[in-house]
Amino acid sequence: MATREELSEFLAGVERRAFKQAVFAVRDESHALDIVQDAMMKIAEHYGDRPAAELPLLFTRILQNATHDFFRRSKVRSTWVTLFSALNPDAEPDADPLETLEASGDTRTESTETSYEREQIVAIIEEEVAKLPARQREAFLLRYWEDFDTAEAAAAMGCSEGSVKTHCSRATHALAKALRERGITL
Amino acid sequence: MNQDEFGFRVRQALNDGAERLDYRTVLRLEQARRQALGRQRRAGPATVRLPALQLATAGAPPIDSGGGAWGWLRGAGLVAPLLALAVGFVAISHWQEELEIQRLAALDFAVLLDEGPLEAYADQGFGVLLQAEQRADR
Amino acid sequence: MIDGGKRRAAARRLLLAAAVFAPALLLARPAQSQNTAPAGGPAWSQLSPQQREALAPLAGQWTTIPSENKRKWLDIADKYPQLSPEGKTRLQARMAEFARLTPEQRRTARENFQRAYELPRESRESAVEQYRLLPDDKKKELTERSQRKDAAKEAQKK
Repeated sequence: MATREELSEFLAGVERRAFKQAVFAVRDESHALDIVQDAMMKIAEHYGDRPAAELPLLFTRILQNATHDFFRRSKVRSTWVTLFSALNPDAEPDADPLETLEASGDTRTESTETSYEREQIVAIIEEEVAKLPARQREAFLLRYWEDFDTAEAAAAMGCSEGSVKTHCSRATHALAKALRERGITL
Repeated sequence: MNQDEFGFRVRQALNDGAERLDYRTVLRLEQARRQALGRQRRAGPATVRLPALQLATAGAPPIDSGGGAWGWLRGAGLVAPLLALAVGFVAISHWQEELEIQRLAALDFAVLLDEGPLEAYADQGFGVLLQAEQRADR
Repeated sequence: MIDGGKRRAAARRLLLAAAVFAPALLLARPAQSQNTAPAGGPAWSQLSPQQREALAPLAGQWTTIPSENKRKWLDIADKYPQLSPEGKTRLQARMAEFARLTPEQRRTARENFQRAYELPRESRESAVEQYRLLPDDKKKELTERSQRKDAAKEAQKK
């Protein structure tokens, strides 16, 4: 059973990422706040007695449900999101954008960037992550931001591990291509 | 660069973004967290009774033995509720003070993390310049 | 002799009065002036190693810090572990200076910070740059002007 300290530590650690992920999904900071608030309340009220190790997966599912609920309630998906979903091709006929990124040379740019430039780059990356189709974005963020392995991500998303890998790889390719087009070298 | 390395670099950028959250958002997230913690589901018996209530109700003397100022209150069965109210008010007052400390902590945290020079922030004269910018914006 | 019914009615009125006035009485405790409040609160040696790591720049002045401020700093220490290395460095670099400000200056800093963040980035940066370029005597002028305005507002209230 998670102690109050364990639940507190978990929520404190996850709240910023959860907020950002909600913003990527719903494109509105105040709705995103509501969603995270709801998710925190739900996990505390309904699952506060589960072992601490179960909290990450539980919270992710609750957060995702809350986000999907939000769309269902508002009935209209953001046209912005739909447009870009349509434009993101699944197949990549041209060169692997990841290879192109590596070829563009010096990848250790942090030391030469100013903090302002870094902020700009971060903002662009966030924009492009937000434009990813929902399932691709979810899989990518669960693997690379939440550190879930494929099995955990599959459990969180309610799909097969194979699907997770596919979504993830498509997300990576789409992101890499988009960043290359915007002149970002990671 | 392979997929994992790309993912790792994106993660670094996302972490940066998460760290730069507006302090008002951070404060609200913190408040939401504390509210949620207050409602944590616990396996086991229900909430502990306030000691004050227990003292007041346990072994309450019969009506006619009450003496002095509190005698008639006890007679009317009001000591317990009044004590509970008093405890409640003290609790609210502590809670409000706690909230204020949390608010200041979140604010100071944001000020410390910010890039603006502290000597400027600490100077009332700087406030005049900020107000001028505010008026210019409208 | 007062009969039971009237006694109960009086008690109910007292209860109502308590409900209305007690919060005001309890919450309107005189604000503890941070200048003169005793430096109570936990001693440096009583802090956990993590808290001491987070608040290291304050070790020297810890005994002089009033107890409410100590609670606020401990709250901040709780947030420290989540920061990146750069965040930690920046936080600690400014901590000692911030703690050495007078309570007045800290209050001003919080107000100015909030005001600054109502502005768009360019306006904020423009104000910082203007301030940086001002010669010291002009800075003093601005500060005095603002203090005179405050004093005038206070006088108007009375």
